[in-house]
Amino acid sequence: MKPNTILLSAVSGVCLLAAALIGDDRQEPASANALLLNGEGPATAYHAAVIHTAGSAGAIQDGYLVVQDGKVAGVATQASDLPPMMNTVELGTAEIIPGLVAADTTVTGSSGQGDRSMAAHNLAADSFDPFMDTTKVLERGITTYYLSPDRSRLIGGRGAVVKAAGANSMLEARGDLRVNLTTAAWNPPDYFRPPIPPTAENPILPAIDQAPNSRPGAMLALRQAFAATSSGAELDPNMAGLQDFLASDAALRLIVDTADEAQTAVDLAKEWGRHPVLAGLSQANAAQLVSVLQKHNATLLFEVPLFISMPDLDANWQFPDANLLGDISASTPVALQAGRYGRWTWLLEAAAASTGYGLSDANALRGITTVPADILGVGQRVGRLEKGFDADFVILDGGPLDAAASVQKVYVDGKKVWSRKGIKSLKSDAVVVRAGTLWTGDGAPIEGGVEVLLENGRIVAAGRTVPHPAGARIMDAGADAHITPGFIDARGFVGTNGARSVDSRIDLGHLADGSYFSDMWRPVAQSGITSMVMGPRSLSTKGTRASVVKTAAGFESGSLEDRFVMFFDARSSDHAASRKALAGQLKKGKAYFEKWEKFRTERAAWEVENTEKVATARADKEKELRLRLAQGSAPKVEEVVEVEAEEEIVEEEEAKPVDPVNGLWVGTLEHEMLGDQTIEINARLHHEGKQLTGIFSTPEAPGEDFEMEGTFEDNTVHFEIPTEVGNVTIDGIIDAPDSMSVKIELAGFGSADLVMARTEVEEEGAAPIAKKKAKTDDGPQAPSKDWNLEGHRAMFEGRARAVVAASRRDEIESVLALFAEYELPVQLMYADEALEMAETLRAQNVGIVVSPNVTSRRENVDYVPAAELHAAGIPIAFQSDRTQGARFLPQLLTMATRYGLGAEQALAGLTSSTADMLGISDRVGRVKAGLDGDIVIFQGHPFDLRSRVTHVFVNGLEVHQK
Amino acid sequence: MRNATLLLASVLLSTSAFAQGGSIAVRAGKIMKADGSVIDGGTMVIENGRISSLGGADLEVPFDVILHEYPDAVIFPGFYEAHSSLGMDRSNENVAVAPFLDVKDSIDPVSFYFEDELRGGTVAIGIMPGNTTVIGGHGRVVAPTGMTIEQMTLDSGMGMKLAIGPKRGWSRSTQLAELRETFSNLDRDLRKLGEKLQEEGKQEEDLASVGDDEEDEDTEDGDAWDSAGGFIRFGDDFPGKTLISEEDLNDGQRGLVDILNGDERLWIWAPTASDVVTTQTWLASHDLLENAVLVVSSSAWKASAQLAEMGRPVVLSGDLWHVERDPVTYKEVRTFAPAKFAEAGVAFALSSVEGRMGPDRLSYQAAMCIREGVSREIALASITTNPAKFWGLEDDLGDFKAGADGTFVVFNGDPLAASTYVLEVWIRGTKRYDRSEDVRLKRLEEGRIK
Repeated sequence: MKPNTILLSAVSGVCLLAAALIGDDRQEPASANALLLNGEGPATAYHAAVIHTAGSAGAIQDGYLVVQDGKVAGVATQASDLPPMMNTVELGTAEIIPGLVAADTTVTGSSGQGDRSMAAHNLAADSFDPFMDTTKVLERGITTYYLSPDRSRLIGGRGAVVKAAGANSMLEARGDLRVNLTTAAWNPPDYFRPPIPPTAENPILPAIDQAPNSRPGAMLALRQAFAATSSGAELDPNMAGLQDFLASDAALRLIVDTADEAQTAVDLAKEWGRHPVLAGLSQANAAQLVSVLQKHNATLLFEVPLFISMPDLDANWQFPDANLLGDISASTPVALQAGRYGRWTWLLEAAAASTGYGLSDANALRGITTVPADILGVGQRVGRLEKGFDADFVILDGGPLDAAASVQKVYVDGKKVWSRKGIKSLKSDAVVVRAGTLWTGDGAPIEGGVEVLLENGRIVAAGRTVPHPAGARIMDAGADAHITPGFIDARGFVGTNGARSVDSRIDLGHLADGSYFSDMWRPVAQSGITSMVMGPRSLSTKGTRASVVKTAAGFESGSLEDRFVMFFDARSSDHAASRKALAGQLKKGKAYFEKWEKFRTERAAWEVENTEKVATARADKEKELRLRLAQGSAPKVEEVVEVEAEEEIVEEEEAKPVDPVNGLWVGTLEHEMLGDQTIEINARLHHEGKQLTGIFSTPEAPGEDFEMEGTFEDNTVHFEIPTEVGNVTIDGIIDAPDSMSVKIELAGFGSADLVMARTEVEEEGAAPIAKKKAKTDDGPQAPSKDWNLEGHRAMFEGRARAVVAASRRDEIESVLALFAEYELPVQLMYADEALEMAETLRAQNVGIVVSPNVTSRRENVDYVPAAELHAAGIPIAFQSDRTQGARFLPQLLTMATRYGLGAEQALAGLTSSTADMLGISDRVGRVKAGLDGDIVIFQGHPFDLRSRVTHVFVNGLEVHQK
Repeated sequence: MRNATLLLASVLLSTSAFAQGGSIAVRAGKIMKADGSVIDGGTMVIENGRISSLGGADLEVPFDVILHEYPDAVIFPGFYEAHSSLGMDRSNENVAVAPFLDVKDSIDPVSFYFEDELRGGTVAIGIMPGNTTVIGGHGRVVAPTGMTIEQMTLDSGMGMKLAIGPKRGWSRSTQLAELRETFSNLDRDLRKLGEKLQEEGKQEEDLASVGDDEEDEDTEDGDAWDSAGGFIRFGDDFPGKTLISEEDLNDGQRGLVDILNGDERLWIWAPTASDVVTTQTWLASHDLLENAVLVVSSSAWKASAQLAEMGRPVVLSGDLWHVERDPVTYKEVRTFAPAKFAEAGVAFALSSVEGRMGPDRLSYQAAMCIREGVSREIALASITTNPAKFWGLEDDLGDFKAGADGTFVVFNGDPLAASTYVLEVWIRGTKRYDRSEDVRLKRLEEGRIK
């Protein structure tokens, strides 16, 4: 190359480099589409998923609508086109449409017409009520609407155009001329205006019979009127009004029903030299109408048949042809109205319905925005979202033609004038989730578009389409999304740091409730696991009671009340001993259960007896009283023996010191674990010397109280309760009379402080309070609760399922035999040699909670034992067996599907199968109406490596990403 | 002595025509003026039907005037009904535009309405044609006592009734179209008339220049005024306008011209807030704002700002409360209209509501206002001085002041209290109602008179 060229390229290269290096702080240089703002006031950009401009730009995906000074400043397709420092409102998945324009309304009323058949001087603007409440109009997304003059007169008058909100709402006071060529205008009343006083020169004439009574009569009257205006003669006010119209550029609106009326209308318009707007036409014969319109330059204001109540129509009434609008819209602009049997505010519905008559989606939207605006003569101001137009727009939560979409907000002249959020009656927690595929938890998934409705914490409906309650939020996850039931972890222990000792008295589930805010739980919930059985880390033959806990829920709904899982361990080197121990537990449990059953039946019988007894006693007393009255003697009022309370002379010369601790103490526990909620704790304390007994209860769980032994020394109260989590210590210092500062320490959970106040002082000489239950009546009393055996009782009552860990074949056999003897359902855990006993297991309907190591190796080959079990017909459930590991469970299963575990089996093992095995299938485990609202949404197939969990719902509420 | 007094009283009563008025003096336990101020043991002297002096217990009473004493009673100017369409055989004609009508042709002096109003302490009623009209006709102020219209009339120039709120069965655009059409037709007719008169004028000149020199004698009659030209004083000039005299017009046209000339007080029925706004525009376009009194319903409270801007008086007709449903919550929202008017500074008069027990008395309406927070002065003014002012008769009616009519009502307690009733009503110095002689009441309380 020549040296000059080299030099040139070098220089240019250096320049470019310099520019790139120096560069200013701004973003990339403004593109050609950058918006320039000319206005004065502040500008706002609205970022929505779709902006339907209804103009030449069409629908813009992921666009920004820029509003300034009450006008649209422009629409940007990307953030970089926006001017810097733009105030942006993020609307998420919402869509923006222009404010709708209603080309015909009944706001002015459909009655109350004058008696003139042709009243061109009648102005609908005179009927405008500036104080009208437009809430119902704005609710439907309508920002501009027409005021109609007399509707059923040959010439009704001049219409008007107003905005539904804002300062200067009258857009046009002298609008189009409304001419009704249908039979509704026939037979108008006689016109009678007597001269007063009548004289010989000016006598009372008979009433004038007004036209029209027929179509030729109508045309004759109109032609005469037209001729009168151009004759130059003195005009009466009516004709003057017609002249006024002809001199203006307002539209000529002709109301017509059939195609031949339409033909008459276009002929009339031609004579008058005006562009006709044909309104109505729902009864037109399609072919005829198309030919009429194609020949003439007209606009159609089509009446879409929509019905609010059962109409009274005969067989002559037909629905319009299916492709009527499709054929017409090719040559004629079509505007839409909701018709005389519906409500004029149903514009969105009219647009949706019009697509059923052949109108394209884009034309349907134009039919309620730009075309009516043009008809009304305000097409230069409203109807489009383009630069310079009024900033009247509506935010929808779906597409404009989506039947489920509802209006969320309405803006007029750039100001928000209506919002759905403020309206209590429209609030609802319902969510409709839309996706492509639904895995119900049983069998093959439903494909091709599905919806699930969650409301009030439950799944209300699931299937191809579901009802959409008013105010429901619609979440469209896309056609690639899969919905599955929330996953159930058959044994995990998030937040408990593992269990060391076994004590089934304290219910772990209660301790772990309400921790949705905790960072430990959110990742679990976000992975798709919505329910977790809070099992102990180490198992024992005695049995541990575990609750089923939701991974993200408030305190009240955080667990499945009254449902448990009892974990037993039957593995040991000394099989006989462990068998004996297990048998002993079951025997004790059964005895305890039977004790309670006996109490229940006895009590029930006693209650019946007692009620009868009380009733007969009362009846007897009444009879006696009646007898006495009948005998005439005054009824002997049962003498109420008034025991005169002898005033006890309080011999307290020496002020006996009141015992500082005996009595009833009340305090309120607040802890971040509980969120907004608090627990009231009642403690009845009694000490004898240093020995302290306390009965703890809470009014929210009546009947359940804990008895504890502790110490009292030097104004200090101390309780220590061993639990599976560790020791719970309660330390209280009585620092003031009747007031105690208490510190509760839950090992691993932190501590809580509260102040308790003594509300009742125990009387002197009162017997120790522990273990004394006041007898409320003389019927059978409930046996005292043994917390060690409550879980067993639940098993026998059917509220808890037993899961027994057993590995070897003999262990499995003895467990099965044992539980069969007691007629209790049982599930196994681990059960490595179960495959050999598949038939026995099947016969006894026993399932297996498999090891979390879903994939194993055998003879150097990876395989999934669970798949083999499933193939053998044995139900399987998966557990995480980890503190934090729960959130990896779905991942493990995904890998497992590559090694032989079917996707449906993997899913069942996480959902329906587990729920069935643990006896909680009436609450969780499937996407079925009536079950808890726990669902997971995947982008892609649930067990595909490429998929991600995008949304999780627990109890109908979305688990939020951080 | 007493018999002589009675004789004198009866002579006075029977001979004095209503218009002449009597002369009496009254002393009462309290004399309450229209603003609520009280003179204890007050004395008032009425001579020839007009109040000549008002003062305390020590006021000198002329010797030739009989003193009536009511030591336990309260004397009050009485209640004034600003606008009513009752007491006539029909309140409206079918003809929408009827400026030639006058209520004097349809008032029925024997109607029970007047008797009952008098019993309740109402001393003057402004009777106007009803609201189902476009231009309704003339009204007049009457006292609810007398056997003939002339005896009842206090003032015949109350004004003309107009309605902007639509007739039953019409829409407001039809109503206004009718109004516009009426005035357009009038305009057209006047122009034709002007042309015709000009033609005639020219013909006469031609004749005069040709024919005899006898001059017509100007007849000295009071109708000379009527045949003088220049009756039309509004609108653009047109040929012959100055030639048109009152005689040339028919009754209907005359009424309309009076309206447009601004000679008539206009009582305009504009019930709703949007009617008020339309009325404001219409009046402004015809430059008739100064003549208007608006008759509204409670829903017009929403247009309080516009009413205050117009500065015109308002008669509140119908129920005092405006009830509407919030379209979203469906809860009823009640607004007390007089309170809103008082807040906005709009001068208003109250009306009684026919057929409802309680609101059919003006005292009840005023008491309701006080209960809802309107000041006592404003509430009392709305049933006394305001109606008199709206009629243009504030010098004669509404309050006790020197030169005003000697019209008063004797109550047995505070006029606004629910337990108070009327003992006597005196109009222009003559007693027109005495409870002790009220036959109907006696019959109610004591049973059939044997």
